[in-house]
Amino acid sequence: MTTNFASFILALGSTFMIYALLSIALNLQWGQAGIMNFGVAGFFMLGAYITGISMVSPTSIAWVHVGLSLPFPVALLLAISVTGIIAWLISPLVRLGVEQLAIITLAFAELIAVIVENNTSLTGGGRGIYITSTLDKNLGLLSYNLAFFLILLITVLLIYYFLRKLNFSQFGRILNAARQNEMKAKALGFDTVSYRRKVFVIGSMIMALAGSFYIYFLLRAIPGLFSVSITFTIWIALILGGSGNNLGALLGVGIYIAIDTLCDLYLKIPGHPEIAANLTYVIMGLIFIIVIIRRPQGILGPKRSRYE
Amino acid sequence: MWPIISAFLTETSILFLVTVGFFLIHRSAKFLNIAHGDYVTLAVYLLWTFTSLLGWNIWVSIVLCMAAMGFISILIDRVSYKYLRGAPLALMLCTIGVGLIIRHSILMIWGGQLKTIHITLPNLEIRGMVISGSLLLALAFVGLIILLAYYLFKHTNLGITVRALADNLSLAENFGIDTEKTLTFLWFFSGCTATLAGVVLVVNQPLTYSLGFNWILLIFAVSILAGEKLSMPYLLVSSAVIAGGMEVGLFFIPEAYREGIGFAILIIALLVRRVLQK
Repeated sequence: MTTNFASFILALGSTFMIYALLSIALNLQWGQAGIMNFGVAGFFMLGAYITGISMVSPTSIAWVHVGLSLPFPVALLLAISVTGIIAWLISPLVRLGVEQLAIITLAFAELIAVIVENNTSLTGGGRGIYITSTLDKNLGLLSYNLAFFLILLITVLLIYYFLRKLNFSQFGRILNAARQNEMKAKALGFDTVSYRRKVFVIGSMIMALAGSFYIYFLLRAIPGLFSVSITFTIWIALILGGSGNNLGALLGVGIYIAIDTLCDLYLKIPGHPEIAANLTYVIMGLIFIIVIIRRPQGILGPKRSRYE
Repeated sequence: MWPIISAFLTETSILFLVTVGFFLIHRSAKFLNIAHGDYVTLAVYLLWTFTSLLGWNIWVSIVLCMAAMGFISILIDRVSYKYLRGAPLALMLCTIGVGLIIRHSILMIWGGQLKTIHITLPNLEIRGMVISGSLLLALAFVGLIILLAYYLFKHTNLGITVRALADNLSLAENFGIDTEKTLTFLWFFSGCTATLAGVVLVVNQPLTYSLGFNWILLIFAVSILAGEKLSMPYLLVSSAVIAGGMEVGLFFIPEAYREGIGFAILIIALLVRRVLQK
């Protein structure tokens, strides 16, 4: 019982870390640079599926015919770099208006989902792709969860530190300037579009990193796990916690995971499983609307450098 | 040849119907209502309750459902969007929350299993061309909305205030136009058109919780392609262009990517507009 409970908590912690990565990546794009990226699920999915395709061996699953059978670290790097290249190719779109960019990135995520669903021999389609992990084979359930949790914790801390440094560096200050008043920043001679493109790419690569860990954590990927709900959940978590503040991004994800787990554990109505599964989102939606009306800066509010 | 034209006309009418409510709100209140697709879904579930659960007549149910959806949209506006007037980004994010609540409430109340509404429509036959009942219904709804909009926008004070809002919101306010009243009317109209779109959608397919939400990208595409002005003919042309593009594109590209074709048309149009402006 205690072992099960411990591994449950650790698995929950890992889920939190993966969502936290997405959330702080989005915070970099939206909170620091004002890029409205509605394609979070798309980059997450790209990271997961590129890792999956790189790791699977061509003979292990009956319906998947392509696979590189690479070890996880190589697959991870491959996933991040390929996603980075794709993000760089679509990044000129950051010139567009905020709403248009939101629509186009949403469409991009949809395109990725459609491609994944319709190329069964490559991605497993609706039946999904399954990978095996050396960690999983050699360790028991508890130590597997523990090892995974620690790896993720270190990654999140590193990324957090990196983004903090970035925010208070010259690069971050120029980004903040460009977000607040693009015309002024341009007049001062900064090529704001090029800065925003870089941030778009870095953020998307962190999202791909999260996806890569996600598939390695679950050892499978099906398109349903990467629906547009992920995008909306992360957005809601970020706005709830406070955009422009990495701690706020973590807090928002924490609230989501807490509500989700509580609904899952304690809200069991016999004969109506659908209520527990959906109440989380209704509660999240209600809290979100109240926060956005009463406290538009989010629970923690933006954290700015003292020069602002 | 006729089957292709028929499919094209059906697609155009559906695109027009699902977009028109979104379009009116976007042009007058100046924000993207991402939840509009979910209004359509909510409408069809209400319709299912009226017809299949309570056993009422389908046409009576449609009219009741239009009224109900009109008031529900006004209610949603009053409890949430009203507090965020003049902040388009906050409004857009708020509609995400509203859409999430609607989708998951539908799953909680009506459950996830497939439901169908039986609407029997007579087919019309002219010189061997069979015009299906669903196409006639869709065309009738489109015609109704265009005529109504024409009458309202040209001949009533309320319609003129709508056009004033669409042209310049703050100027309209400064001229003493009661923008709240106009917006209340627009939300009612938007809810009604969502119902009509829902009716046309469920003639040929079962009800699912994401029925309306699946259209959101095409709604964006049609609405943006229709240009900056609040104009029903432009919206109809834009629906026709995207529907036509998707029908033609299906000869070359697999069925699964048809939304992508609609979107490609939008991106090309935006680029062309950008080049023309320069």
